[in-house]
Amino acid sequence: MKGGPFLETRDLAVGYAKPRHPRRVVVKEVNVALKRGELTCLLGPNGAGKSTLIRTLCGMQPPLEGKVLLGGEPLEKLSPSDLARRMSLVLTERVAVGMMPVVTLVSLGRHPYTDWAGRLGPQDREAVRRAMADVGIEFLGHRPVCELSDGERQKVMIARALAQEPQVMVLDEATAFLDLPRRVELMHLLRNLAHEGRRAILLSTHDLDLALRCADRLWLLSPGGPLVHGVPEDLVLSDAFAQTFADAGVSFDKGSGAFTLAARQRGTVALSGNGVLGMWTYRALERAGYRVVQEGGHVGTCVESFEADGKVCWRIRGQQTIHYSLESLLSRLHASSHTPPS
Amino acid sequence: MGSWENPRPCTGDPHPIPRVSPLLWAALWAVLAGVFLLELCLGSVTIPFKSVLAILMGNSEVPEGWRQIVLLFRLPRAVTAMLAGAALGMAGLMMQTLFRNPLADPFVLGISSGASLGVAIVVMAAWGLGWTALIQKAGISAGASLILAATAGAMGILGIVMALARRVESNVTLLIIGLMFGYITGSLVTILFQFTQEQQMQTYITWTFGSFGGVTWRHMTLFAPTLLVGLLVAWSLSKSLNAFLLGEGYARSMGVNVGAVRLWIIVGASLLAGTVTAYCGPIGFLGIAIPHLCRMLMKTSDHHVLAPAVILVGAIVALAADLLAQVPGARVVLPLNAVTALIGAPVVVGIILRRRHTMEVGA
Repeated sequence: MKGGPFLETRDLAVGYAKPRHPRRVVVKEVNVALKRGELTCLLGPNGAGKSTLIRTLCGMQPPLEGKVLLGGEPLEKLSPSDLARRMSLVLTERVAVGMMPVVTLVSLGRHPYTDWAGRLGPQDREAVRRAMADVGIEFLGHRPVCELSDGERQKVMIARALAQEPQVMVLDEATAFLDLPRRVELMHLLRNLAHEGRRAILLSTHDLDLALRCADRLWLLSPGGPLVHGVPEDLVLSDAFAQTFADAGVSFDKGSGAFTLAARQRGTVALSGNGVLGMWTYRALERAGYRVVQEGGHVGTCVESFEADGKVCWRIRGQQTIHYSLESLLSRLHASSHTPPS
Repeated sequence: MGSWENPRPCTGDPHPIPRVSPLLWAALWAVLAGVFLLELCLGSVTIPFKSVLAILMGNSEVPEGWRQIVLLFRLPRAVTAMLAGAALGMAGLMMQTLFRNPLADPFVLGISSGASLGVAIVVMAAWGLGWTALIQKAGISAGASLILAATAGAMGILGIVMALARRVESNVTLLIIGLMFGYITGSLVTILFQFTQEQQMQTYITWTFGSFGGVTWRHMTLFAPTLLVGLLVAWSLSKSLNAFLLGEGYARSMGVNVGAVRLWIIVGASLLAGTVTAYCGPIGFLGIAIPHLCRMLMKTSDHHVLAPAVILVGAIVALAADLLAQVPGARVVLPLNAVTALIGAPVVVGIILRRRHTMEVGA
């Protein structure tokens, strides 16, 4: 089993089956795998069934069809403690454990390994120490969990999941309530933990941009649609990414790798300029509702960005005025786009 | 962030699991011994400390009256108080952890409501129907019939709750069902009131005051072993209870058999709370306060520490409350329930105000 994926699904269908109710299939024909050393992100709009899929992969609800194999063995054949030794979880919910020191909470991860009294042996202590070091929270050791910030708290929960020494770590929207710097930090941490090579990590998230940049593989789940998976860039180029999130008002721009609000179209503008200045000018024009094209072959308005005397400035080709801020440039553009082109 | 404060010497394991100082444990044992002896000395008659020791040692050079008071009344009363305090504290701890709610107490699932209903039926309806003579003929004393009635009522509710717990997924639902049982039994008792005479009402009301004095040595042969078994079950659940602190999702992911453990918690807590209620009446407040006191004293929510702490502190607090209820030196005896709440509630408010995080409100 060493070489095989840590987690694998075979023709998995997930959803809800209640007696006297029609069966509701959320996703079917899921054939995916989590491989050692990889960070996988599960993306999809709200209501696509991310949580249902995660719950099924974790054994919290039975599959409707097909199988989940953990280390080659069907999930339902594993005892609760065997399952806990192979897979650990970090959930969205904020834990309220009160006056518990961080180190005690992390050692809860040793639960499947300790005897009935929960005594920690040298091996357990070492696993706890390593988990805290890997996440970078050694210095929090004796602080009570209730005094931690949300970001620190979630790191503690990740350390706890690591102390469980799983092959597969599953995080269900574990970064949801954190601020952006904390989310970036956590995502990098998860990537490093995966690349270290002892485990596979699955994270369901709404952070499309971060997932595109950090994940080794993406699973894209669209409502009712199939689960598409692959390397992030492949999914972008094949338009699978855009299709998953094809929704009114939002569209994925392959050029910038970002989602754009479909603002009202004000017309097409050509842009001359590159580098950082060019990029931000592009973003400003796009946000203001212009379709931006490369210069050359375009006959309409053309914006030039350049630096002069150490200052950034903009000019509309054919006009004398030099703008020293994008604000000024945009208001000039808006003014001229209201007048019909002569 | 100020996270670098609190440096520790780096010898061996950099993060040993914090331990509670042995001095604190020793102090708790000393206080327990103190209140225990006080309970034997004080009461309507004050017996000198030396004589109490002599009586306990089996020395017979003490007035026979004192010997009887200590051995037949005060000693079983003290043992009852200690066991009941420990049991209620432990049941409260388990309920607070299971429901992740600092307001939970041993009776949230309706155990005491069931017991109350049982007692109300026996006291009012049965006696009204002229069963008193029958009960007396069967050789059951009035006290024993109350115990039987309370036990039957508590077991009845326990049975219903267990059956529901198997089917109901959510703990909050279970909590609400428990509350509703409370209302139902409360209204049934009120209806029973309508058909009874004042004297029987008084018997019921006295029962609801709570008392540690009703347990004789004969009762103790069942009372003590039942509670000891319950306490052992509860203590042995410490590891799983710790996992439950994180919520059921996490507990399951750590290999806890959530369904089975939940049933054990309910059975254990109900056995403890039900037995105490049957023998001593519905004693409020101790069950909710003692776990909070212990979290505050031990500065942890680790059940491996809390379980023994709750047993010790529970015994101490129950003894102290009983001492106060007897108003040493006076002939008056206050209702135990009045004392536990009157003195204890402000204490808990104080603790919670000072340390808002003794137990966060679960989501």
